Amino acid sequence: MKDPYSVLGVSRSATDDEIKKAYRDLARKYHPDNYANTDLADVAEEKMKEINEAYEAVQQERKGGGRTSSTYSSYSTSGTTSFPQIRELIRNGQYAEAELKIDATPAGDRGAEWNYLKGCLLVQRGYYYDALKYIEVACYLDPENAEYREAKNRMHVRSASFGSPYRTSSGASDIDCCGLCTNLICADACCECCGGDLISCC
Amino acid sequence: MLPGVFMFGYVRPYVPSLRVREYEWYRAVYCGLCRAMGQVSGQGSRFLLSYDFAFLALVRILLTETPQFTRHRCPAHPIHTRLMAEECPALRYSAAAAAYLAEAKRLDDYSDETGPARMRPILLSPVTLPMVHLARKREPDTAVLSDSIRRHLEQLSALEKAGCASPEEPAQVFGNLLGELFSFGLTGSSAAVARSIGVGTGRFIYLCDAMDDLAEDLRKGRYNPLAMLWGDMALGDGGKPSEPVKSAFADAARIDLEKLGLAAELLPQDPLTEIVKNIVYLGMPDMVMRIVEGRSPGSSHGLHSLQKAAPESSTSGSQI
Repeated sequence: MKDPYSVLGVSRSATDDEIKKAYRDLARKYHPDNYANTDLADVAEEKMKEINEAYEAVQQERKGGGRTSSTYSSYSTSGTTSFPQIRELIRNGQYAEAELKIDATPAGDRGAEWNYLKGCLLVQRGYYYDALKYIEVACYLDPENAEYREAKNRMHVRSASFGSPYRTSSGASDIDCCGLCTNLICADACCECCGGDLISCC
Repeated sequence: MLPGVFMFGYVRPYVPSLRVREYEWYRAVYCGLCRAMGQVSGQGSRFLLSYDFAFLALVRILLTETPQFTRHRCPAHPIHTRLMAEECPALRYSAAAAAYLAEAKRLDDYSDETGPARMRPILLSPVTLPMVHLARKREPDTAVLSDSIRRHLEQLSALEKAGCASPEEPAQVFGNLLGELFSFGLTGSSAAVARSIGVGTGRFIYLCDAMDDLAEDLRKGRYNPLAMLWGDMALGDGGKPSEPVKSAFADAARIDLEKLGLAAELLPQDPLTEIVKNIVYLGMPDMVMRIVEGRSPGSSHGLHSLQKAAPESSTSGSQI
């Protein structure tokens, strides 16, 4: 297995925040959504998996107080919460398993990321009222995080577009050249009925 | 916390975007329902008239048969004649359903309240009981409906007593109740479409009511699903719902309407369907914004408030 630090492109002396940031940037870059419907989907997924594993391994190592590099391939899942793993499950559509893991997370670990992932799972279920609460809390706990904000924004755009294919209330889109002419001719006809004239030539 | 059942009228058209003929037809259905209520469950039951029941009647009309529209005078508006939908099975059914629901709501209040608050349901019994009695006699097929309503309401109050922490479950139970109400007696694809419209409408009404009553419920220590969900974050400055609650509600409610929109698209091609689409695509999202902005209809109902409310909401910028 590759050195997880080099996969993430950070040095061993990087701070936790730097690692987190590196991981997020890479995850955003290789997110399967970016490659949906392209030939590269599989490659991106492979890459994503590698990044997740590397991030997981680094986290384990730092949390576990200097485990040797040989242990990162077999991280344990019991007890500690592994968000990258949950992300992986969500990406693969294994929502039920992801939910089990999310719900088993001890209260102390339920930070911004937990709220975000919980929200994502609830969106999957169609529980929007609940989902948006968790996403909102994630943004509240970590206001700087672009991923959470992005999720919130996506939901907002989706909600704002509801009903938009239906007649728009402004009516502005109905005005085109043809419509304008017909309206004018109609108006002229109406005026003529009443004895006036709008367009003098006809 | 059973939504002020159908008394608030969360389900109404967005009038500025109705065609004139659609507005006339909508009023005709509304007036026709009022007349049908008088005929099915007694003149006293006409006070149950609300936009929500007019919506039920509209959907049922679309899925059964379209009534004639004729001009009549009515006691409430003696000067001018009004276009009204003639009595038809859909209107009679909706009138009966309103009576059953009112009685179920009374019983529900009776078992929920304690002390002096119990007087209201007790005093209302001479009003609602004869309505149900008449409706059962005149629309015997629908009599079984009241059992089904009661079952759903029992389920709902069990969830609320248990302090259900997510609005999802109780909203779905109330949705199922309306799904039953909308689809009762229909078969095949009509029943499926009606049920789905009912479920979406019920969920919408339940959550609108929860949002509308959030601050008051918290003050009075009553169950409120959104208060349970949001905990400490529910209230902001001045005891009003906080901004995160408002924005999340506004987004979630409109996304939750997507399914209802899909169901409405499956209604028969008919000029009246346009009114249903107006209600779902424009009226309901508009209501969400009105609740969030503190302009909810509250106690005002009747067509006059509809006319008055319309220009106001068009200038608010809440329109999508």
